[in-house]
Amino acid sequence: MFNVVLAVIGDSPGPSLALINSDISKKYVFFYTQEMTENATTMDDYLQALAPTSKVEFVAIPSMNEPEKIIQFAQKLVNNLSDDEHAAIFLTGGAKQVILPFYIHSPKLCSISLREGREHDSSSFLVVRQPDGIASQHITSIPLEQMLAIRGWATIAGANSPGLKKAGLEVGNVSVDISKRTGRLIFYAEAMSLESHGKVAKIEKNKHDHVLVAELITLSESFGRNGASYLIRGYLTRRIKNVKPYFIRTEDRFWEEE
Amino acid sequence: MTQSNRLITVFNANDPTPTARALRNMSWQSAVVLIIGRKHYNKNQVENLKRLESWMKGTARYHVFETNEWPDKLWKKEWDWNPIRFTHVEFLELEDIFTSEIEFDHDDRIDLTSGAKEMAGELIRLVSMSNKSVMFSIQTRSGHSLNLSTGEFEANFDDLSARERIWLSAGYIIDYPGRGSRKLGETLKGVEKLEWKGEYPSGRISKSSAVGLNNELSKIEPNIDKMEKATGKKILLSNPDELKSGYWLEHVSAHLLATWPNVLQTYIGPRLIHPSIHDCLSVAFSTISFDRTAVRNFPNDLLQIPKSLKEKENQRKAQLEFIQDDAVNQKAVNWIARSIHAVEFDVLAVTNSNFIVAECKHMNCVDAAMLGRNFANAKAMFPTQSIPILIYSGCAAMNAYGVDLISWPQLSNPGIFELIKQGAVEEIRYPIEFPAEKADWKSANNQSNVAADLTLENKKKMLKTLLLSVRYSPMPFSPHFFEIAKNLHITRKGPKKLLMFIRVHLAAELNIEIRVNELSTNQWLVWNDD
Repeated sequence: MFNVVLAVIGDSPGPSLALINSDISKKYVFFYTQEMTENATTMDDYLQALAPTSKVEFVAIPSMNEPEKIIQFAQKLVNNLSDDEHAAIFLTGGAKQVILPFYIHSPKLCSISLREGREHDSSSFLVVRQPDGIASQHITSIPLEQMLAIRGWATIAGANSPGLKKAGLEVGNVSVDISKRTGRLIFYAEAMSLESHGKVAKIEKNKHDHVLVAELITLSESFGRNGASYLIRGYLTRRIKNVKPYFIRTEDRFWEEE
Repeated sequence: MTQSNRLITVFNANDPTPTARALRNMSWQSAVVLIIGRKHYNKNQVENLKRLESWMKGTARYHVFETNEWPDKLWKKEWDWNPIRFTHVEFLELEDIFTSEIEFDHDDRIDLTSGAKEMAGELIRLVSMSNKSVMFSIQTRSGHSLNLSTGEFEANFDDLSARERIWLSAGYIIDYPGRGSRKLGETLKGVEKLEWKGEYPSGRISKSSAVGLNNELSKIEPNIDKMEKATGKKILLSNPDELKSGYWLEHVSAHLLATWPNVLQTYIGPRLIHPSIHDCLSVAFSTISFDRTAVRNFPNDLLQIPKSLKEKENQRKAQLEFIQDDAVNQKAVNWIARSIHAVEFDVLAVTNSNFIVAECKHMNCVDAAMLGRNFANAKAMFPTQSIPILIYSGCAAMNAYGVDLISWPQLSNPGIFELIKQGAVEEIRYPIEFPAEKADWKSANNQSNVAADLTLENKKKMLKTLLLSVRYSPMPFSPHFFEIAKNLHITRKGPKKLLMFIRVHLAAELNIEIRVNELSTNQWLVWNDD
C-alpha cells in the first residue's frame, strides 16, 4: 500500500473514483486547475457526505493557461517526495500538460494507470508500474451510484428505472446502467412506440422523442460526450434521426459500436 | 528553444494533427515517429498514416496516385504547403511501447503531444532508466511549444496552417473564394441594424416547428447605406437582390467571426475537395450534365450515364484525358474547376483547437431539420473538432438540437458560446420597421427557387440521371448526394422529402432500395439487379 498517490482531476469522474475505491493508498492528493474547480467541488461534497474523515485532499493549482506555473508547482512538490518510496502518481486523470510534469520531475516514483474492463474481463483494474518497469494489477470498482453522485446526479427510482435528478434539474425519461463490456455509464431512453400511422400520433411521438434527445444532451453536459454512452431504444422517425447529435446512438447501431 | 539533434514523437493514429504539429514546430536534425501496434490499425488509421506522409511532402497532389494525375490547370499552387525534411524522418514500428527497447541519446527531444497518457508515462520511465538527459515537450492548444521539464513556453510562429490542419483532420483540400476580415468585422459591429416586421415564418416553416421565431416574425438586417459608408466597401451588396437572397449574411458573419481573439482564419463559401482527381471529375461531370449552359462545352460521351462498370471505367479515363489535354478550352476548364468539390460550407472559422462550421440562413426562424443537417455535415467532415453553428437573421441565440443558433449581430460577442451554455440569452431587438417599404418577403425567399419550376417529369428525369451516375461513383447520401441534388435545384426541401420522392417515384423503376441506416456511407443505395 502506498502512503500517498498524487492525481489530477479531469473531465471524467470514472478514473478518480476507480483510484479511491482501489484502496491502494492511505492518502490521495487530487490537484485541480482553475478550470476544474466545479468538478473538484462536487467530488469533495460527495466524499465529505460519504465519509467526513476522508483520506482525500484537494489542492488548487494554477490555471491551464499558465502551464509554466503548473510545472514550477509540480517540480517543487515532487522534490519533497522523491525519496518517498511509498508514493505514486496516477496518470489517467487530467490533461497531459498538467499530470506529466509531476512524473517527469519524479520518474523514480511508481506510476498508476486505469484500464477499463473489456469484453472478456468486465472488471476495471489499476496497473501499477514500478520504476524498473515491473507491473502489477489491482482490481477496482466504480459503482453506478458513485459515478452519478460525483457529478451531482442521482437516480429517482434506482438503476434501470427511468428518472435522474440533480439540484433543480430532472430528466424523467432516462435510465442508467453500467456497460458490462466497457465499464462506462450507459444512459438510455425508450422511444415512444407508434400505435398508428396517423399524423397526430406521429406528431405526439416526435414531441416525446425530441424530449429524449434534449434529456440525453443535458446529461452529456455533465458526463461528457465521450465519457459515457447515450442510447435511444426503439423506432425513431427520420425527423428525430436527422436532429439527434452523433453521440446519441440508436439501438441498431449501438451494439455494433459498443 | 535550442536546436535538438533528434526529435522522437508518437504517431497519433486517430488524428495525425498532433504528430504533424510536433514535427513542424520543433527544431531537429532527424526525427523518429513511433508507430505503435500498427497491425491492429483499422482502415481509417492506416489512411491517417498515409495522410501524414503526404503532409510531410508538402502536398496532397500525389496522395491517391503517385503519378501526376492532377493537371496544372486544375491544381492551384496555394493548395500546397511547405514540406518538412521528410527524408530525415524515420518511422519506427513497435508492437508495444512497454516491451520496446528504444535507445535514447543525450539532447534528444521527446514530444508527448500524441499518444495515450500511459504511453507518455512509459516513455518518461524508459528515459529515466537510460540515465540520458533529454527534454520533454508538448504542443499546447493555444499554439505554443511547452518544455515540460523547464516550463519554457514559446509561441509557434510557423504552426500548421488552416489548410494543413483541414488536410490532416478531414482529408480534404480547402479552396475558398474569400476570407473574413478582422478590420471589416470591427467596423461592422457598429453598423445600424434594422428589424423588419414579417408576415410569415420564413421558408414556409410552420409556427409549431419553427425554432428561434419571435412574435413579430421579424428579421434583422444591416442598414445598407450606412454599412457601405462605414466600411468604404460594397461588401457584395451592389446588387439589391443580394440582400434578399442572403449572400450578405455569409460575408458579414465571416467578418464578425474574424474579430474573435481565438479565431485564426475565416473562410467565406469554402469548398472541400477530395484528393482523388477521379472522384473530383465524377462529381464535376455529374453536376455539369445538369447545366444547360455548361454542357455545350463538353463532348456528349463524357456526360452520358454509363451502362456498365467497364463503360464507366472507360469514361473515367476519357474524362481525365479530356482535362489533361492541352487543347481543352478555358471555359470547360472553368466549369470543371468550379464543380469539383465534395462539400461546400457557408463559413468556416479556424481556431487554435476547433473548426467552427457555420451555415447562414437569412430567415426569421429555422427548423429542426436545418439544425440537424448542419450538425451532421460538420461532424462528417471534422468528427472530433467541429463546432456547428447556424447563423440567422432572427432575434434569438440558443442551443437547439446540439447546434448553437445565433442571431448574426450576436457574433459581435466572442463569448456568445459561453453565454448560450449558461442559459437563455436574451433576444436582441431593434426598433421595428414595416415591410411596406421593402421588397416582398415571399418573393425574396423564393427568388432562386428553381425547384419550384421543375415539372414532376423533369425532376424525375434529373434525379434518375443523378442516381445512375452514383451507381458507379458511389457517395454517401448525407451530405454529398443531398448537397448535389440541392445545388442542382432538384430539391428545395429536406433530405427526408428527397428520399421519399426517390422511394415513391423511382425505386420501382430503377429497382433500388434505400438503407436508411447507411445514409452517411456509400452503401445507402442498393441496386437489386447488381
